[in-house]
Formats: sequence, structure tokens, C-alpha cells
Amino acid sequence: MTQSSVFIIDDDPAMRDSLLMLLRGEGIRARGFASAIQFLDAVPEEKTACVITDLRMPQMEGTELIRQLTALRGPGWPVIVITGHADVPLAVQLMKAGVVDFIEKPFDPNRILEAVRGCLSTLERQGAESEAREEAASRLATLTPRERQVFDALIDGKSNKEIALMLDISPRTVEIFRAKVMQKMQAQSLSMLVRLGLSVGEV
Amino acid sequence: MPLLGAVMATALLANRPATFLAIGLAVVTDLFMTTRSSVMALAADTILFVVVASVMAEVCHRLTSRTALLHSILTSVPVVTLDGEGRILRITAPAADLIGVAPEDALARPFSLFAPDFDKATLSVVTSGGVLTLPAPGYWLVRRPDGEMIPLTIHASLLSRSVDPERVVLSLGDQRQALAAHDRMRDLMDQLSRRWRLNSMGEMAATLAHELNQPLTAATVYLHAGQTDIARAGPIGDSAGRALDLAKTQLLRAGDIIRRMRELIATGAPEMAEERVSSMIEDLRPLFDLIHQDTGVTISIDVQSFEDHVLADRIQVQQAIANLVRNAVDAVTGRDSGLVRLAGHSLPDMGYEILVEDNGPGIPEDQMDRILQPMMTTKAGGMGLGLSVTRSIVESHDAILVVGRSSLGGAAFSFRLSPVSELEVA
Repeated sequence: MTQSSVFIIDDDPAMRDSLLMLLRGEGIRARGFASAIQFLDAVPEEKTACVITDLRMPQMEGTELIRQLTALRGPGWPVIVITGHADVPLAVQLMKAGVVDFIEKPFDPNRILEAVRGCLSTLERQGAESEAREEAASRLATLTPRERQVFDALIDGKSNKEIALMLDISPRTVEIFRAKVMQKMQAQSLSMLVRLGLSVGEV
Repeated sequence: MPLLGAVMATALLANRPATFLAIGLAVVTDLFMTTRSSVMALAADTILFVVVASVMAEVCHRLTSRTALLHSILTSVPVVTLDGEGRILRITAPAADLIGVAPEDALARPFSLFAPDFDKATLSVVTSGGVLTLPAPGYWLVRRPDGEMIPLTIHASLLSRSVDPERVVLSLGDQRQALAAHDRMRDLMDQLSRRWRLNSMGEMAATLAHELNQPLTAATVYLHAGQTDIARAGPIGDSAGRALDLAKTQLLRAGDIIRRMRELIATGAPEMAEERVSSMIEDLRPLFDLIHQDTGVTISIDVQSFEDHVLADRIQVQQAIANLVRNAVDAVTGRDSGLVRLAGHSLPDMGYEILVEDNGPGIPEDQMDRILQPMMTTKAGGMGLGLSVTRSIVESHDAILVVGRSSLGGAAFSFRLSPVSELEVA
């Protein structure tokens, strides 16, 4: 999968431009927006992205933007706030609003790089997890009803004999279904099959 | 005829019944002592005597009662009379009380002994019919024997066709209470303006910090990006990379200096206490009176004085209200019938709302957003800090400064203060 983008929302052109240069120099895809309004007028399609925003901006303040972003994309779009005015109550309020990091201007560029990298790797991990989940779900969908019954019984921890008794078929037939399930689910072992079952929440 | 004198003496000394008794006795004596040619002549003489005597007696009586009235008025107010040399000839008890001496101790002593500013030169201005000019502080000072200085107004009038040797009458006015009230108001004004300067400095520092932080941060980030590029050039770029690193460190140091300055000037958390809105606004009345005198703008105050217990930093909120009123007055100054309205009322369960509105031109639609930003002003001589400071104060009270259009036609600013519940009040 490809790495998520970073969106930079700041009314100061130099701030925006320098951050774009910094991130692109590090091989991170980034786009700039001059205001919260501009950003919300044409919200990018990406399911996951890291958002860097200033707090004090004309027209719409950062806090309102964050509220709308959270409503719009939730955890898929973690927000990093950069601001010149930092105080404790504000920080608390922002953290409650779901902001992942809070950086006071002027900052060491390494600081924001770390924050962005942390953000992106979290997204990547989440992305990998959800990808695996989707893959498992799609494999699961290829099972026939009978195979599905065997699959459910297997991850339930039942033995071949128990399954044969339960489904009123011979243990030999269970063996055959079991092999087919393992093949369709691309599971090398029973434990891997159980893990796949867990990832799609079938247990 | 000599008896007429006796009647007048009685009239001067006693009241009406005694006078008429004297007239009667005089008539009887007259009848016995003198012989008349005819009964008619006797009757005419007698009637004439009674009429003349009664008129004379009434005039004498009126004179004495008028003198008594004047006397009682004069003894109840602080009055001093002086001779041509400025010596005290008479002094009423209230005047002696003000000066701090017994009346008899003040007599025949120069008035300038008590009021040093009221010297010979001043006296000659009065005796030549000139107008008194007040000494520097705006009032006369009297030094009492106990050392206390008392501020006075002195109204001097000249007795032209003199009841010699009295030449000048001084009527004194105690200014202590007026001055105390004036002092109290000046204290409040001092406090407000000191707080205003602090707030303005804090706001200025915050603005400066914000405005400078942007380019500083951008420069730092640019430098870092450049550094990354140079690092790819290998050993050749090492020295340039180090230089960029040093430049970056200096920029961050500049940022630290700004932050420290801001923390130093920061006004800090508001000192919240239970306050009554009506009382906070009452304190500001003298200020509004002054503004009204200076500008001619009518400031109407319509503040509900019940259920007005709020949690507030008194001086800060007064500052915010005064700022809003001043702004509103500025907006209507020079217009016909400029009007500013300061209103306050409690909203059930939602606190107490304070509203300042005017009938000026209002805020242009395209400036509504920016009007609360620092360094943003529509006034020729303004710094653009007033509304920004006001907003900071309001926000430090967990409230929002709402900008809008007034039903009077101009701008309206309002905010709500949190109520103190009845339980906490009790």
C-alpha cells in the first residue's frame, strides 16, 4: 500500500511552503491549503491522511476545523496542531478533541518530522491491519455454506469427530472440507486459520 | 409725642401684644396729661396717634424679625467678615469649626493666618471689586491648628456702602467630601488605565509573538529542508550544513526570547470573585459622565440590578465594559444625536448578559470577521488593540464576545458572565 498524504492548512504562505518543502524533501507526499474554508470546500478523497493545521486563522479557527474534521473522517485523519499561542487549558481542550500532537511555534523542524512520521506509521499499521481484515473477509466469502459451517466449527475449537457428528457427515468428508477451507483461506496451519477468523471478528 | 419713642422702643424689644399695650397706655396717658380744645380734636389726635404708632411699631417689628432671620441663617453657614486690613471681625460657629478654632480666638486676627493663600494681594483684589482667582490646586487650603489642611471654596463679596469697619464677607464651603469622591474616582481611573496598559502590552506581546513566530518558524523549516538537500551532496556540503544548523539554532533562540517576553507580560489568570454587575457598572458612571461631557454622546444605562451575581475579575470586566462603551462612543461621535446603550439582564440558567450598542454606522459586513483581531482598526488614530484586549478579557471569563448589528442601527457587542448560584450566594 502507498503511504498516506499530509495536508497542511495554514494561512501564512511561507509557513505552508516551507513545510511542504521539508516534507517533500523527506519523500512524504504533502499538499497545502490556505484556509480551513478552502480545505472544507473541496475535502480530499483520501480515506487516511495526516492533517497539520494552525489554530488562529481568519474566517474559521482551527478548533472549529478540528471539530468538523473529526466528524468527517474520525481516526482516519489524525490532526497535528501547530500554534504560536500555547497554554495548558487550550492543550487540554485540543487533546480532548482528539488532536494527536500539539507543537508550539517556533519549533525544531525535527520535532514536526517526528510527529508526522509517527502519525503516518500509525496510519500505515492501521491500514495494514484493515487490509488484512478485508482480505480475510473476501476469502471467507468464497466458502460454500457447508465449508463455512466447517470453518465456524474449526475456529470454535471442535475436533473432526465432533464436527462429523454435529453436521451428520462422515469424519472422512470433514477431512476433505477442512482441506478445502485451509486452501481457500490460504492458511498454512490451524492456528493461522483461527487468527484469520479473529481478524474478521467471526469469533 | 415723646410717647411715640416709648412705643417704638417696645416694638423693637417685644412682640405685638406688648406693643399694642404700650400704644393703649400712651393714649390713656395722653388723655390725662394734655387738654384739648374740643372732643373732636381729641378724638382726631388720638386716632392719628394710634395709626402712626401702629405703623411705626409694625415697621420696627418687621425690622427686628428680619434681622433675627438673617442672623439665624448666617449662624448656620460658615461665614467670616473682614475689615479692610483682612482682620476677622465676625465669624460664625460653622466657620470657626471649619478653621478649627473657637470663634472668640479667631476675632481680630488676620484671616490669612488660617488661609495662607488668602493674603493681602488677594484681599486688595476683593476690595477693588475684582474677581477672585483660585490658587493652584483648584481650591483654598485652610491650615487648622492641629495641622490638618482643609480644602475650601471661598465666595467673597464686598460691602460697598459699608457698615464700617466691615468691608468683606467671605462665605466658606467645605470641599472635603467632594475631593474624597474625586479621589475615589481618580483611583478607579488610575487602576483602569494601569490595567489597560498591562493588557495592551500583553496583547501587543502576544500579537508580536504570533506575527514574528510565523516567519521565524518558516525560516527554520526552510533551513532544515536546505540542510537535508545539502546532506545528500556528501562531504562537500558538510561545512554549509553546519552553518545552516547554527542559523537554525539562532532562529530558535529568537523564538525563545519572544516566548519568555510574552510570559513575563502575560496578565495571568483572572482573579475571579463573586461580583454584582450592577455595582461594577455603577462604579463606571463617573467615567461615562466624563465621556458624555467630552463628546456630547448620550450614554443610556439600563442594567437589571437583581439576579446579577456573577463570577468575574472585577477590574478586568470593568475594563472590558469601558472599552466597549468608549468604542461605541467613538463610533457615534460627531453624528447628530449619537446614542450609546449599555444594557444588562440575567438570562435564566444562562448567566448575565451585558450588551453595548450604538446608533453609529455599524461594522461593514466584510470586516465582521476581522474586527476582533489584533492590529485591526477602522479608526484613524487607533492601534487596533482595544477590541482585541476586550476579547481576551471576555474569553478569560470562559465567554465569547459576540459582534452583531444593533436594533439602534449601529454595532452591538455582547457577552455573558457565568452566574453564581443562589446557594453559593447564601
